[in-house]
Amino acid sequence: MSLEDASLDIVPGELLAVVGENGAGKSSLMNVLYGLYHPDAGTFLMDGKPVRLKSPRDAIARGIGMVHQHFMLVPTLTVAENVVLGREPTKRGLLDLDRACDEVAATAKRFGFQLDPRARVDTLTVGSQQKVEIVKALHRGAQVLILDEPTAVLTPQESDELAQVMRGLVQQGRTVVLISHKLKEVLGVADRVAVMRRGRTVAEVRASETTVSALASLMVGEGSRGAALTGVPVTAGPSGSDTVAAGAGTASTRSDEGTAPSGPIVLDAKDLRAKGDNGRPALQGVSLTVHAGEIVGIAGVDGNGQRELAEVLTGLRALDGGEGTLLGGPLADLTPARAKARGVGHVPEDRLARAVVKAMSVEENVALGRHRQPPFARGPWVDFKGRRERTNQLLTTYDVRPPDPTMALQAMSGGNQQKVVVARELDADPKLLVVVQPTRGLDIGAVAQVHARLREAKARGAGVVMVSLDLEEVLALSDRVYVLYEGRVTGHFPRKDLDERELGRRMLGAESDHG
Amino acid sequence: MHFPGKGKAALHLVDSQPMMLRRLHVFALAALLCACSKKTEEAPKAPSPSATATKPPEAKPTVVGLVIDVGGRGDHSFNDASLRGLELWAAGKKYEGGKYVDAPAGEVRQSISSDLAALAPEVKPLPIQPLVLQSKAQEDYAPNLQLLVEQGAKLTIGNGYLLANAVRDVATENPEARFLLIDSQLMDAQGKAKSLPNVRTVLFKEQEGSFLVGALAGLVTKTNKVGFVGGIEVPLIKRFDVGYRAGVRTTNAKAADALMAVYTGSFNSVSAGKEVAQDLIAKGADVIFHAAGTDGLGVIQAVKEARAAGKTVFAIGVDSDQSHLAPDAILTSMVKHSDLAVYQAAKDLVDGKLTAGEQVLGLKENGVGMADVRVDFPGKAEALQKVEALRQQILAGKLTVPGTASELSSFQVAAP
Amino acid sequence: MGERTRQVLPSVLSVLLALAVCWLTIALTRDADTATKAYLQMLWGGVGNWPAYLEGGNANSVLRPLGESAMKAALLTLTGLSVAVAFKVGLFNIGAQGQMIWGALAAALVGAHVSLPAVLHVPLALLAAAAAGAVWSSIAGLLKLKRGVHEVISTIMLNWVAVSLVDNWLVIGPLRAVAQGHQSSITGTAEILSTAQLPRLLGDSSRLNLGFPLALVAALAVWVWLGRTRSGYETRAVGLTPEAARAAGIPTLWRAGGAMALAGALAGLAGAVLVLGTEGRYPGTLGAPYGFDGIAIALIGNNHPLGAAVSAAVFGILRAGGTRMQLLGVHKSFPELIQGFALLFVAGRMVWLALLNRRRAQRAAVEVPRA
Repeated sequence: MSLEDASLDIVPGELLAVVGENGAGKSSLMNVLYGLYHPDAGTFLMDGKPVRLKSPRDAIARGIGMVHQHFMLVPTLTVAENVVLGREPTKRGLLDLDRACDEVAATAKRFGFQLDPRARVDTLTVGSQQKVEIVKALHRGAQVLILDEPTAVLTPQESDELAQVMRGLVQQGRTVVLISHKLKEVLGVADRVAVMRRGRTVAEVRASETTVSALASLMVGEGSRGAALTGVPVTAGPSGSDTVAAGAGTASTRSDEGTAPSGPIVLDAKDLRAKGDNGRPALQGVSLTVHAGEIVGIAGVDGNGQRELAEVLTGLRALDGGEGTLLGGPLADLTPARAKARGVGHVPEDRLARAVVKAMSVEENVALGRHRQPPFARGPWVDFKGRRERTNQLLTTYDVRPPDPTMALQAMSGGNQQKVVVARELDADPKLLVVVQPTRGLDIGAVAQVHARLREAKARGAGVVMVSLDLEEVLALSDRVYVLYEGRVTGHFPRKDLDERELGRRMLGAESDHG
Repeated sequence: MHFPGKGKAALHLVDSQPMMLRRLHVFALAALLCACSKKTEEAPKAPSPSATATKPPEAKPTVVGLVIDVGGRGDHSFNDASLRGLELWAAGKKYEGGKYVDAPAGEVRQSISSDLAALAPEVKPLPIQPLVLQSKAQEDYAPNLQLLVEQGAKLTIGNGYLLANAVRDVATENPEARFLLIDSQLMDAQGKAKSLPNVRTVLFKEQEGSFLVGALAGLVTKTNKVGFVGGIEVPLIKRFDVGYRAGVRTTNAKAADALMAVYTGSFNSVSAGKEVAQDLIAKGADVIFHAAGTDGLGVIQAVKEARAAGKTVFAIGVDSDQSHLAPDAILTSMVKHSDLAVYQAAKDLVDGKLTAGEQVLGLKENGVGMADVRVDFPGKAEALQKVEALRQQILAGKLTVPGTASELSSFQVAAP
Repeated sequence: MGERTRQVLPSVLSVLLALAVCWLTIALTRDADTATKAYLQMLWGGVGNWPAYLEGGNANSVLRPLGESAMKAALLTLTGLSVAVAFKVGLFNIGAQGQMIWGALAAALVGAHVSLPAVLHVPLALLAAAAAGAVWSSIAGLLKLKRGVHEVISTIMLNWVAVSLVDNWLVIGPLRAVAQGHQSSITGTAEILSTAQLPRLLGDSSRLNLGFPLALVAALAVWVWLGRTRSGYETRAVGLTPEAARAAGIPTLWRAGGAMALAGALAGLAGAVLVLGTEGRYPGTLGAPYGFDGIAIALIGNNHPLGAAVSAAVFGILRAGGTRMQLLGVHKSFPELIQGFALLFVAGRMVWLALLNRRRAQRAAVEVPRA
């Protein structure tokens, strides 16, 4: 359920921004507008008449165009060929490329774009490719243009340019709907802002009459730290997580006041820099320390460098700059094998790709990563007996169902798969445990169990770094919280200073209002 | 001439080379086709009680086995020549639709090439039953020979020098069975010739046939430049080369000095043969003799194309009469009669005269020869007369054709 | 349906279906009687004519066919293993042909030109062949791991290079044995010394040689290695989920490269078994079509080392016996046709499993009301 009673008025000739947290329903709403999703209930009026959009084709026909976050361009074709794709001008049955170029050039000129229609798309910068997408939509007669997180892939300069483009379109009488969670940007360019939270539109305000922090408050929700951001299904009410944690029987809740961390330092990192998969800087100078016996939460909106940070700490991603010490060794030359040897445990975000070999049996997965040591190996040989015993033991301890060590892991439910992973990583008695989204997609019982295990690890003296998009989870477990925004630490809160509203604002890139 | 090793096996390779997908397609296609077309390729029916019962109840026919190499049936060359000798000449049968049917006498006669015309009346069907096995891989030769022995073949023929070791091994193991090995001697592990009491081997004096076509080439050339295209430079192919040179030198010393001989280094590449031949033609050669297996088809193609472009160029075929490949362009062919060798062995077997030992068949023994000249050129009659005179000299033993480079260097041109 | 059955049944059914289709093809083009007799001939040719033997026939009528089948099975097993091992790390080794060619050449050279007692000579020749094959496959492995060149492309190219270099040049050129006596032509290398020959195990008349047990041992060893050793386990993990293997600290590049080298070594051994076991030298043309058969064998064997050995045994029998089909006028290619069909049907593994599952579901549906 991603949309729940959302309403939106789009006024012709204005620039409307739709803001909201990840999973607040922005994209879903836009996909409804574009005919990709079909609402279960509710009406959609265009020019006062009810309309039913069956497909994007319908939407395009009615003058709605969309620029997706991931471009839908054929890289080896030229700009003009991409723009006219699907409605190519022909001459005597043959593609009339000259006319296509002329038409595209005309459209581009009309809206003030600098584009060479004959350039191949794969030679263009990302910003220019985005313009091609916009021109494509306009070329198809879009009156309403929806841009989904358009600046996510752009450099600051390109973003500024895009803002001008959007304003230009509005001046020409087009309507622009901008989806974003970057509040500063939004306020710089939009006429009106609609705020979404938990599938609802909770506010519509004029951009000139609001501030970043006001918007942030609207987005996070007043007085509710149970605000559903992503992930965990939450029962109801602000006390939901505490109830769950208590249900697991090992709860030490927020009231378990952590004071200043006192254990030895297991991780001391300064100015970490790393590139993301797309080659753009993902970590732009992150410094953090982790002590033994504490849980350090990493909060942030998805895609602000959390994943890359976890990968750096586990040796999966090479550092681009910065330095640090991890469990007595340098961070710079860390490899997965070295990280393991030093005592780093890892519960990655994408379980099936990173944590398990799903086609292998449960016991083989329990051995993964520790398969060279007893009780999983004896010399160069696999120790079947030792492995079986240890697996049985873990399956019982961690309540994995069914407790069948020979079963193919892929035959288990996601929650039990995750339990296997957590069991394996904790069984290795890690000194530093890096967990990313440890409860994503799990049911309440499994969530509680995983949380309990993380606390257990902490109690045993492990330093735990927990990346989660689920603010509630972060708040419930962390002794300290770092907030990441665009690859930088924008906030650092010891437990006693935790203020979820402030946390939320920092996550959205807002500067500190008070403090 | 025959190049069992490189030519055919390598062709086979071309088939199996591309990936599995292609293989799948081939298999699937084969399945669909085998109802009709594949049948024509199939091997003979064994002597079964029913088959023999329908035959005139004379004596029970003697089984003669033949193992042909991976080139298989239908190579228009060496395998087909031996099959012709066994099936059509010796058994009087032709292979149709997976079965043997009696061949009309006219067809037998027609299949006997003109240089053997004198022998034709002697070729009569014998009371034998052919049993032919095709081989799929190098290591199939020995078990196939063995299988024929077990099937009661009184004579088992290994066709081609690739089978030399297989014949040696199987003959050693089955001393009571008899064998014929075409185109090679038996050799021991050190590469020394050896003999077995139950094996007849047949070699051909390719140089003698090559001498005749060389002599003709020397008479036909207008540019005084002739060419030779060989495949891989082995002694067998050198015999063609040397004999041809000697022939050219005999009739046209100038052309002999300008003779251009090229080895393509393969027996399975039409394009390589064509390239080489085009080069020779560009350099002025107007008669080209090839001894290069499939590469030779490229030579013939190049000559055909040059003729179409207005040049007067001829190719000389090899092995069997290749005239049908390009009737205008083929001057003649140097033919090699493994058909006759096979027929002769079968006849000897039936007559109880099959001997072991080494046969070397030259012009005199009708082992090699020159096919009919079917094209016209100025001075054809005299030229043929001269060549015939040379042939007579060889037959009479007055002229010994060199077979190796060292023999060639001491070869004295006799007065024509 | 047990996991093991799920793995084995589709292959068995595919082979049976292929046999049935080819029987039908022969029956339709000839007649049912011929088809049946041809199959019987194939069987006798493959496993020996036991009825005739038991009626007092020559022991050779059993030993010889067994020898031929075992010899082919050995070659198919080794190339099948080669493909299967590479597949375990997710690489598709189309290059068993080229690797086999180099292995055969190495074995022929060591066999002919090194003087050693047999106990050392045979192992050295085998080792040389394995090393040669491994080097050749490692070229493709390195290209893949260092430069990202797709192994299917590189191994195919390397096949051509091997054929051109060895078959079309070395063995008819510089490495050609010289016949004494100018009349005979030899293409191929010198014959190996008798100390390098793989000993025959069933007497001289049967060509069953040490190569067959060697291939079986290889299959067993690969199976044990994959299933029971740390490095084998790592290799499988790399093949199944490379990212997870990397995250677990497994040296993925080494494992992939190692598996590719092993694949080449196995194919190289196939070349050695051919040269040292039956041919006695590198023949004028090897071609090594067994490299491609290896793909079929591995797939029909479900990429399991023992599965490959079993499917190699089955097709060794069919192909050794298939020659005999010619005695009935049936084309020599039918064994390959059966193999091809079996491969085609195995490729539809999922279809088989779906069919089997449906039957089970139907049975269950019938049983439930009763219960």
